[in-house]
Amino acid sequence: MNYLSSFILCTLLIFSFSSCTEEEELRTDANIDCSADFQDHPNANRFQSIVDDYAADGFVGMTVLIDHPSDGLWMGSSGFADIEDNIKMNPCHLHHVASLYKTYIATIVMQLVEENKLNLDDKLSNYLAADITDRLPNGHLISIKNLLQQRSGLPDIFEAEFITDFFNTPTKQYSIQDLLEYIYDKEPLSDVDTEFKYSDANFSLLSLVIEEIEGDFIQELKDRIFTPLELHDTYFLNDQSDVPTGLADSYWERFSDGNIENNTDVQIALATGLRGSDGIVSSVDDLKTFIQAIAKGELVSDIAAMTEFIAVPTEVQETEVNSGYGMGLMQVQISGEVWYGHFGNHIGSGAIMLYNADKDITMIALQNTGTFFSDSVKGKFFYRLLDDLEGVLF
Amino acid sequence: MKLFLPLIFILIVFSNGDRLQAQENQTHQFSRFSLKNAMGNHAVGFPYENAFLAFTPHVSIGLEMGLNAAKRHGLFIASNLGFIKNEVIGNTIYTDFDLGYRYTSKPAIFMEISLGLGVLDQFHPEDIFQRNTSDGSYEQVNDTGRFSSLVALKTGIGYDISMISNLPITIALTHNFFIQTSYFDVKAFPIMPQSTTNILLTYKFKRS
Repeated sequence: MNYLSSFILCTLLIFSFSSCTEEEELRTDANIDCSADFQDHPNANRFQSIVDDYAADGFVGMTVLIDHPSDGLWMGSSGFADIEDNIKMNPCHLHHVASLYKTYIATIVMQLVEENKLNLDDKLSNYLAADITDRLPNGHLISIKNLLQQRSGLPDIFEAEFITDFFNTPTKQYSIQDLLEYIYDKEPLSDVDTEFKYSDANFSLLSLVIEEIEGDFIQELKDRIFTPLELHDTYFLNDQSDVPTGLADSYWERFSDGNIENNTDVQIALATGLRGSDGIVSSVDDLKTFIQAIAKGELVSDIAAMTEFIAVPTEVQETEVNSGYGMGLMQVQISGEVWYGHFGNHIGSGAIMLYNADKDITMIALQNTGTFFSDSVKGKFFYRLLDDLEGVLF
Repeated sequence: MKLFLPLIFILIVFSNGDRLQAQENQTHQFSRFSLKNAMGNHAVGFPYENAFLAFTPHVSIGLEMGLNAAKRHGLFIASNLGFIKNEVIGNTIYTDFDLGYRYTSKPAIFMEISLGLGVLDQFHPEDIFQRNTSDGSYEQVNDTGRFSSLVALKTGIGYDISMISNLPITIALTHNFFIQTSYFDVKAFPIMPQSTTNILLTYKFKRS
């Protein structure tokens, strides 16, 4: 038995050597004053009832903004910005806007077009080095317009390979070049300008193009959009230690079993780490200002070009609610009404920014429960919520 | 590096008082049962991918029973109980049942492959909360884990020290790939492919 007891002793010893060090949990400071009161709005109770229902049905916290030309502005929240510290969500809280980033980047690219600094039909290879374009699928055929319209045929970065890496090193900080490694030397999903294939790589590459022409694309976001529009609650997250006050914590229902878990540290790591695909946090009010500035031609004169929507494939229309894609703008159609704007889908948040050009209505919804890994949460937020809000509006 | 020190310690403990001698195969001295202990690193990914990208320790203990007495071509079944400390996908306790084949060559080197089926219980890395429907507040709840099933393919290569010395052990490097079903509620990623890469020590019980 001597050998057996030595065997067991060694087992215990080895496992004791294998203890992990606990990382400090990253939390936001979600304390923020907010005096928003819209009780006099004619549909205040109906909108608030909808938001309350969603906060009771799987969403930790949610804020909705509706700006209607005759009824006026309504903003309301429900649920929590921070469960652990018992901080209720309010309309002033900041949220991760995820892929709404694409609309900001598209806006800057269109501004550069209007400044004659680039042409939509220019090839990507005119701006980026050959060591990038040589390794990209369709690399020498893709134009700036193809990227803006998601018709480059580039595969998406966030597929199985990235996701398995993510679960091994969730707080890794990626450069745009790091992210492009996930699609280098792969087969294109389609020929250029033949099909809509949603890919974050398109806008990562556009971020690089902006850098080539103007310098730091983050500074361009600030100089061309945040500052002129006075978006005081909109930030680009540069690093994990630079998180603005008022940012709501992030949560997810990992196993879709009703158990909510804080994933703020991973959400912030991704927001800061996915350079060229993510990184903006904002409030409902700032997003309203931004989408209305686009709609009114304050940022880009040729809004017609940005909103020249091409129908997306039927299977995309059936699984998502967007019916067409323009230039960094989605066309969304639920029950007959047509909106444009963008959706943001993330691990610990979800964002909707829409404008109805026919009726001059703006609709913003931000919430802090992850939509990316849950089809049921995603479906509730990006489809059912819009349907319910439309039911009040029209 | 953390694993090397204990491994050196193992070798010292086990070789104390023994000298490696060229001996005949002593298979007949051992019973059909052996105790297995694997220690290594866990990773998310497909076979042989990302094995050491992050430090997420794994340990398991198991009981193996040989199904035949052949020296070279051995069939075996094994039952294992393991623990994975992973603060990203969740700490996991699992048990599985394997059916395997082991080929042992003349210089005591063996290769093995087995298929396993099992269940696992996975715990959230962070505190979990549930909404109180009466007042809308959130309450922290105990994490009892979430059960799911696993299918495993295990491969290994090792050395049967008992064939050349009095030490009743074998040592092997193993790679256990398994698929956890399900993980997320999302059609695109319904499963979680994972693997553990281990040093496996097997203690052979002697015949009574």
